[in-house]
Amino acid sequence: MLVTALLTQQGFAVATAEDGESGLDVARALDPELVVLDVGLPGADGFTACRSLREFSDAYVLMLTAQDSELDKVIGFDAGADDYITKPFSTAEFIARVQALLRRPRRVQVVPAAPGEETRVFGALVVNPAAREVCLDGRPLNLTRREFDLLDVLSGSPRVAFTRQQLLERVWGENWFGDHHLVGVHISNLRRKLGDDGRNPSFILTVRGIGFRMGPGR
Amino acid sequence: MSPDAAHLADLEKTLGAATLRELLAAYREDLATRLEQLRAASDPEEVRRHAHGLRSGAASFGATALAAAAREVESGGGSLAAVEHAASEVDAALATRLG
Repeated sequence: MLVTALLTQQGFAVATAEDGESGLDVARALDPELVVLDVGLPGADGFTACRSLREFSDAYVLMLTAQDSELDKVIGFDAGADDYITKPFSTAEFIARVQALLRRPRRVQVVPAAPGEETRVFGALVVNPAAREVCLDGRPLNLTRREFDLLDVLSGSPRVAFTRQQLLERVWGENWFGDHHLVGVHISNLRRKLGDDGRNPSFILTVRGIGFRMGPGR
Repeated sequence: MSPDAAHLADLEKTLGAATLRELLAAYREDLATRLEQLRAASDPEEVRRHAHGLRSGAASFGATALAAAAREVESGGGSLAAVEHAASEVDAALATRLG
């Protein structure tokens, strides 16, 4: 609960799970950028959960635990953790570690778009679907697959207001069995990367009672 | 020993007084639940798991004496009485703080 409060306060959309198995289910559904994993989970322990997570996700993993032995840290890194923090931790250290993780390049950088290739421009935002490249203020953004796919759909039909169900079907597929909350979580993450204020967005607008559509940018 | 004042001050500075208050109230309830679970546990693995849960929560809020007592039990030693004593001090401190 403390970690949830800290991450929420920092502007992250947070999903939680009570044990390793349900945590893995949530990770499969949400494709998170960051997983804060308690080593002492009920059921499968955090090390086991981390190994399982690594089979399908390249999310950054911050191990959080009351354990403090050198061996636990080694096992944690061996299981695929990116960083490790021991309770009690200072809030500044926790936030700094999260931010440092998210600054690390992980996903493969796509090649720059070839001259003349189709791009979609929304002010400072340039989307190149063929290259799966997104640049903001001239700098490439590191989006997850889901985030890019959402932006691709929205920017491909900028005058269309999409319902959450439509976005779910277009991005996750028609046979996806999940709820609309997923779309909101990924839109929230996407907005954060675009520097968009959810209350007054420039790039991804909320259409009240409907869903989302592309904005003019800034 | 009550939760560490400097640690709580750090949390309050980051999260704000209202959020910290909600968290401490939730932790107080969680503490009572976990203590009850530890009292009721008979299987060693169950004891270890509930003791770890107690330690984890206590460590998060800087309740070091409770974390240490729970750690002893988690490791197969210590005593439930020591955990109970530390937990009652934490609960009393939280009750005072929450008013």
